[in-house]
Order: sequence, then structure tokens, then C-alpha cells
Amino acid sequence: MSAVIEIRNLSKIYRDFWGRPKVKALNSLSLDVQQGEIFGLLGPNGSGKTTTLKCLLGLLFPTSGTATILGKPSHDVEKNERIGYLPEESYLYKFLTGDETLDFYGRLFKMSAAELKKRKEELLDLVKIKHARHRQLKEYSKGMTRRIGLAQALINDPDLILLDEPTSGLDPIANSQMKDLILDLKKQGKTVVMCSHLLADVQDVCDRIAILHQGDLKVLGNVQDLLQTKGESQLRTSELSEEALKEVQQVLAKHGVDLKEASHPTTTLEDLFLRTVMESEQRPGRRFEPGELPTGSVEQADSPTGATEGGSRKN
Amino acid sequence: MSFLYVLWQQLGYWFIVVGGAAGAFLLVGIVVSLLQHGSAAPAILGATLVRGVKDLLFMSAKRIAAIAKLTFVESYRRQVFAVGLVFLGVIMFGGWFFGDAKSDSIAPYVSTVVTPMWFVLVPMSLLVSCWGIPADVKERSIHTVVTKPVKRSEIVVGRMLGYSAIMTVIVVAVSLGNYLWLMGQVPEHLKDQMVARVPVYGELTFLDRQGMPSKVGINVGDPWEYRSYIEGQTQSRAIWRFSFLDLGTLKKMESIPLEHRFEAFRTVKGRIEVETRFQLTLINPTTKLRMTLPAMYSVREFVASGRERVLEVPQTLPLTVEVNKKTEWEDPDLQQRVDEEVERVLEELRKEEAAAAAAANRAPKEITRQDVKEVTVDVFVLDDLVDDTVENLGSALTVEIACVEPNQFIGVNPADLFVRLSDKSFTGNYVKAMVGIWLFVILLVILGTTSSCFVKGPVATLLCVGLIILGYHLTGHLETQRQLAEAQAVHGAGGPLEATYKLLTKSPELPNNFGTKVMSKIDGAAVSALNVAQLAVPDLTRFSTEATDRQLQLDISRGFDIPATHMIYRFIVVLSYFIPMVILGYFSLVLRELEHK
Ligand SMILES: Nc1ncnc2c1ncn2[C@@H]1O[C@H](COP(=O)(O)OP(=O)(O)OP(=O)(O)O)[C@@H](O)[C@H]1O
Ligand SMILES: [Mg+2]
Repeated sequence: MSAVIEIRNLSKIYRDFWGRPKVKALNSLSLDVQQGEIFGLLGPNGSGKTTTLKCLLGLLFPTSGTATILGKPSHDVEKNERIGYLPEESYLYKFLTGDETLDFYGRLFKMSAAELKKRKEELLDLVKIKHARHRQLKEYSKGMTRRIGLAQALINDPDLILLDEPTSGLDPIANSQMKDLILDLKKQGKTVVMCSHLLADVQDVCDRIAILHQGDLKVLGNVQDLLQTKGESQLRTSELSEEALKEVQQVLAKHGVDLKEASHPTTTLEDLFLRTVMESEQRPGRRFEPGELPTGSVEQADSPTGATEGGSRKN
Repeated sequence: MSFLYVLWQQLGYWFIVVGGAAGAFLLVGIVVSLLQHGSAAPAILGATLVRGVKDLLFMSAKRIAAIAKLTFVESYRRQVFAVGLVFLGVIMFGGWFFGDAKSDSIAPYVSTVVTPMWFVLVPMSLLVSCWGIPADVKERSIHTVVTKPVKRSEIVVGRMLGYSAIMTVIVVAVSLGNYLWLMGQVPEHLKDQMVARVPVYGELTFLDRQGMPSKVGINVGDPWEYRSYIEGQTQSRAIWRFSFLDLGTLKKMESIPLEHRFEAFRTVKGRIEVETRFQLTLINPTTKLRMTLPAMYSVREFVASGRERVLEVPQTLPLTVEVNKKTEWEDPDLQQRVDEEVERVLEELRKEEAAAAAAANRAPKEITRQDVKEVTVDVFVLDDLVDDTVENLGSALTVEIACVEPNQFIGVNPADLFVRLSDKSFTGNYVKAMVGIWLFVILLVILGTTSSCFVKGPVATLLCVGLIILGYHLTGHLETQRQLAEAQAVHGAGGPLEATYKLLTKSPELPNNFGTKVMSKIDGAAVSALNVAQLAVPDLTRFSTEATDRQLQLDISRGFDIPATHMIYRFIVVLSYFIPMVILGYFSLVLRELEHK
């Protein structure tokens, strides 16, 4: 496995017209993305995810540090032949129809007309926009625009795909299809980097994640490792009766329950995320290693979906 | 002036301009880079330049076409064409009002359609070209483009081509519409004015009342001093010197057409219908042969510029020579013809005398040259009055005008008398004028697109408007300066510095020392600098469709053919702006973050 993206000490300060610093968006960020993995870039709003992607793509110039992508500096345009990018909002040409959009972007690549035509049909099928292909994008709904945006990102069959919040605006079905698509891309040996706020989805698809907070890298690692809780055990049983439930704390085996699985319990990504953010606020300037963050529920944080589904332990 | 010469000269200047601009940009780049990157600056700068050369030299036609098409579709779907339609409507409306006005000239008809074109097409080109890229950046749609394998140079060129395409469609549509309108609206009796006259102008000097040469004529108190006057029945004359006449063309014509547009000025309150007459004398500047045309002509102020103003000088004129007097002219060829005629007359006289003597039965008297008083020979105007020999290049024919009415004045301007070669077609000239407008529009698109690469729409528009104003006013000024400097150099006064020196020291000669050598070097450089500056800011008056004092022939509404040299100039200006502007636009896009701020 080789690194497809190498970020070294990347800092970005947004300046105003007069060159005075306005916002420090990235603070000496270093990370690698390996060939063939799905990498999740997480963090609260304004933590620097989009900035990172833009620096990688040469849309922004880093204040210091370097970003190498597919072995090339970010300003190199030839590497873009193998890259697909879905921006955070679909910055497309609203006066073009869906069909024309794919034609336009496709022509920017070294691709024969026949190849482009074939690819276009496949993608229109994939993102299910065939019925609206002759309508101008200004008439598209948010989700439809998102879909056509995804199609244009994939028009060149890229090896590296950068998706900035790919599921925003998508309906649940499209959302689950998006997850399938990303896993499918991985199967084809492609590398995916995605930013997302839908932690359950990230947990489902990502191999590794990084959590940013106010431009600082807080957590970086393998999703499995990060969510594992050490020094504890987890049992999984078949259906328990009422009495069994009462007695289970005292004598588990006594009641003849099948022990299906005994492992380390995992927390949800959502849990991890919320804890990271809270800890970061209390203890700024620290980077957390896997397993270092305190386990347990997060009472302070509002968690609308409930943090219990994945089986977090309550003390 | 030959085509190649003009091309060569303009291209030469242009290379200096581009080189200079490139040098200036580089210098600014070095300074900025040093300030930003310190010791790493040379490496960064070098890499940027190498990348730039690569990006500018190897562009993909396919991607440029894709971006151009996108640009075209964008403008099209944003209803740019609607503006064209509105414009046509305005023209129709104007024409509707115009319909009542009685005019004996086609000029108002032509300017009704041509002048508004400027007022619509200029803002439109700026509107189209100055706002596209900033909007692309603001809406961030450019992010999906530059993250494809697209070079920024391809964006600049593609944009320029796309805007050019849309403006081309508009110019073609509008000029076609206008042409059809003209064909329909110009009344039948004015149609003979729909030609492209090909004038050959001369240089005008005067003789004053006492017959002394003078640069200007008499001022009759006209504040505009557009015309200078000659007084009737005095020695005062208006004299045009034509430096070159195309004899091949003129010989094919039945007569030599001289068109005039003089103005009469009466000191006695005469009746207006009294004609102010003048006389025309043709002079061969070398042989001094003078031929005053027998006919009197009158000033035709109140006629349109049709054929009524044209004096048809016949190809041959009768010249009566007093045989026994020395002629004012010296022309061996003509002299021989005179001698032959004298011989013929002598022969005839002798025969007559022989017959008379035989009848009277006496010895015939001897008939000598003394007996021939005068003979009349044919003078071939183009051969005998025009000197087209190489050694007298630059003074082919002199034409003198004398007013014959006492106490009346005739007002003349250099462009008031010209040899009118065979007319060309109005349609062809109209096409040339439209191509001129089109080239101007393309120039604006190039300037607009480039400025929009580094500033936002409104600022880019202002920048372009500023350039237009400069182009209209600065170059005229520069031209005067340059001519002045050149004239000083030619007349031995040296350049500006040298002339000042001589003026201050009141010495006609320069001492030959180091200081004066440096001075004349600086003078030479100053003249070149003026030449260069003149090209750096395009002379937009040369794109004009209306006459100015300097450029009369551009007025298609008065039916003058646009000379080829002007078309060449226009093409070269557009071409020579294209490449530096692409380079400038490219570096502007490369060196800035394409993020809305
Ligand atoms: N063009 C800009 N000019 C100035 N500041 C900016 C600009 N873009 C982003 N920022 C600032 O940089 C910081 C990081 O922004 P960024 O867009 O990278 O966040 P993000 O992690 O993508 O957030 P979100 O989850 O909301 O998309 C923020 O504080 C933001 O205000
Ligand atoms: Mg973002």
C-alpha cells in the first residue's frame, strides 16, 4: 500500500483583502491516505475539512506546508486526469442540462467521444437522473443536483475520489445507495476521501478517519481500533426471558444461555466524535491516541439518535 | 505603403511592446516573490515560469473548444441575444422618426444605423466579457473546472473565444439587419450615393493676396478654422500637391474626376443663388507646364456628395503655344510635338503660298517659323501634366484653385479636393466597416476577459472603459508628439533635447562632445519610446466609422472607401493584444486563489 495523499505540516490562514490574517483554518496538519482505502475526514462545522480538500486540489494555496496528491504537487493539472471531486455544494453551471453538464466535464478529459457517451449513460443510470437529463440544472432539486454532481465527479472513472459531504441532501434510499457506491469504488481498488457529518455512515464505510477541531488534528486512525474499548468484555446472547434478565447480572451461565460472542465492546463513532470535540474544548492543543479518550456516555451532548445502538456501556 | 511594410513595422513595434511588458511583469513578479518567499523566491519563480511556458505552449484545442462552447451557451441562455433584438427595435424606431426628414444625402441614413452600433456593442462586449470569470469564481463553478485537467491558459483562451463567438453572431446579425434596413429605407434618388469613393488626397498650401506662398489662407473669422479662404480676383490661390497618382487606373477612365467640396463666403450681401465661381489650373511640378481649364466651375455647397461635385477633367486638353515666344515650361517631349505641329502648319502654309503664287504667277514668298504665330497641340493630362518618374517621386501633380468673383471668398480644407478614383462598391465598404467594428468588439472582449481574471466585474469594466478613453485621446496626442519629434529630427533640429539646447544656447550647431552625443542618443530613444507607446495603447480612432479631422476617409456614411492600411492596422492591433493578454490572464488565474472573497 502506498500513500496517495501526503499532507505535511499543512497550515492555512485566510487573509482579508489587505493581507491581514482573518481565520486560522488549518494548523500544521499532517496525514497520509493510502491507496485503496476509504478515508473519512470528520469534524464540527468550520473545523477545516473543506479547506483541507481545497488545499489538496490547488484551489487554495497553503500558508505553509505541502500537500502531495498522487505523487504530484497540488497545482499540477495533469494529475486531475485521475481525480474526481465532488464539492461541498454542487458548484455546477445552472444553465446547462444534466446531459450537457456531463458532456462538458467529460470533454475536459482525454476521452474519446464514444467512450464519453457510454460513460455518460452509465452514470445517468447510476445516479438515476435519466428522466431529467434534458432539463437545466437550475430546475433540479437539491438532491438531484447532488446526484449530477456525483456523476460529474466520476465521469473520468477516477482512481482517487474526493467527496465533500456526499450524502448531504440525499434521500434515505439515495443515501444507502451512496454508501454502496463508495464500497463498490473501494472494491474496484479506488481510493476515496470523504467529509461527512453522518457518523453512522462514516462508521459503516470508512477504513480510517481523522477528526479535526478548529484546524487541529485530534484523532487519526483505523475505525475499528478507535472504537474498541479495552479492558472490558461484551457478551452477545439470544433472546432473554424476563427472569433471565433479572438474574443475568448474578449468574449468567447458570441459566444455560448460549454464549454467541465474547469480545471487546465497541463504542459508536458518534460517541467518539462527541467526546473528542468535548475533550478538545476542555483540553485544547492535544492530540488523542486510540483508546485514550474516556469511555462512557456523553450526557452533556444532545444526541438525537441515541448513542446506544452500537452497545455502549453505561456505568 | 505596401502591405508588408506596414505589417513589418507594426510587428516590430509590437515585439518591443510585448518584450517590455513581459520584462515589467517579471520585475514585479520578482519583487513580490522576494517579499513573500524570501530566499526560496528564485526557485518558486523559476518553477512558475517554466510551468507558465508549458501551459501556454501546449494547450488542448478540445478543452478550449469545450470552454468556449460553455461560454457561448451561458451567454446565449442568459438572453444576450435579446439585447440585440432590442437594439434592432431601437433602429427601427429611429428609422420611423427619420422617415419624415427630407435628406438629400445618404449620410444621415447610414449614421442612423452605424452610430448606435457603437453605443450598443461596446457596453455589450464589456458586459459579456468582464463579468463571466468573476461570476464563475463567485459561484465557485470554476472549482469543478480547475479540478479537471484544465490549464488556466485554456480557460482564458476558451473564454475569449466563447465571448468572441457570441459577439460575432451579434455583430453579424445587427449588421445584416442594418444593411437590409438601409437598402429598404434609402430613397431611390439617393441610391447613386451608395458607393465607396476612393479618394487621393493632396497636400494644401496657399498663395496670399500678393501671391506669396503661405501655409494658411485668409481667416474670415470662422472660429473653428476648419477652412481657410482665398479671395476672388486677387493673387490668392489654394494649391494642392498630389504626391502620387495611380496612372494605370486613371488612364482607363474617360476623364479624370476631381471632387471638390468648397464653401463660399460672401462679403457683399449678394443673392444666395449667385454662383461663386472658380478656376482650375493643373501644373506639372517638374516641367512647370500649366493648363488652366477653359471652363469655370462653381462652388456647389447645397448639393449632396453625388456626382454634381465632380469636375471631369478631360484626358486631353488643347494647348495653344505662341511659337515665337519662349515657353514657361520645359518638356522636350511636348516641345517635339509642338515643333512637329509647327512643321505641319508651315507645310500647309507653304502649300497655300505655292498655290497662291502659282495663281498669281509670281514667285512664292519664303515662309519661315516667324510666320506661324501660334499652334494648338493636344496635351495628355496624365502624361504631360503628371510626373510619375521615380526621381520626382512625391510630387506628381499640382492643382491650383482661383476664385474669380471679386469680393467673394472660397473656403478650402485639405480634404476639400481629391482625385476620385473609380468607385468601389458600397456593400464591400459596408462589410469593411462592419469588420472594423467587429475587430474592435473582439479587442474589447480580449481586454475585458483579461481584466476579469484579476479584478471583479465592475472594476474590470471600469478598467476597460479607461483604456478605451486612453485609446481615443492619448494616441492622437502621442501621434502629434511623435510627428513633432520626427519633423525636428528631419529638419536638423534634432530630437526634443537637442532642439531645447539649441533654443537655449541660440546656436545652430551642436558642439561635438560627449554630452551632446548622449543627448542625441536620448533623443533617439525618446522618439522610439513614443513610437512604442503609440502601439502599446491602441489607436482606437482608427477603428472609428466616423470622420475625424485626421481620418476623413473612415466615414462610410459619406461614402468613402476604407483603405486597406486601416484594415491591416486593425487586424494587427487585435492580434498583437491577443497574445500578451492571454499571458497576463493566465498568470492572474494561476497566481490567485480562485476563491470568492
Ligand atoms: N473563503 C473563506 N474566507 C475566509 N474564511 C474562510 C473561508 N472559507 C472557510 N473559511 C473559514 O475557515 C474555517 C474552516 O472552514 P471549512 O470550510 O474548511 O470548514 P468545514 O470543516 O468544511 O466546515 P463544514 O462542516 O461547515 O463544511 C472556518 O472558520 C471558516 O470560517
Ligand atoms: Mg465543509
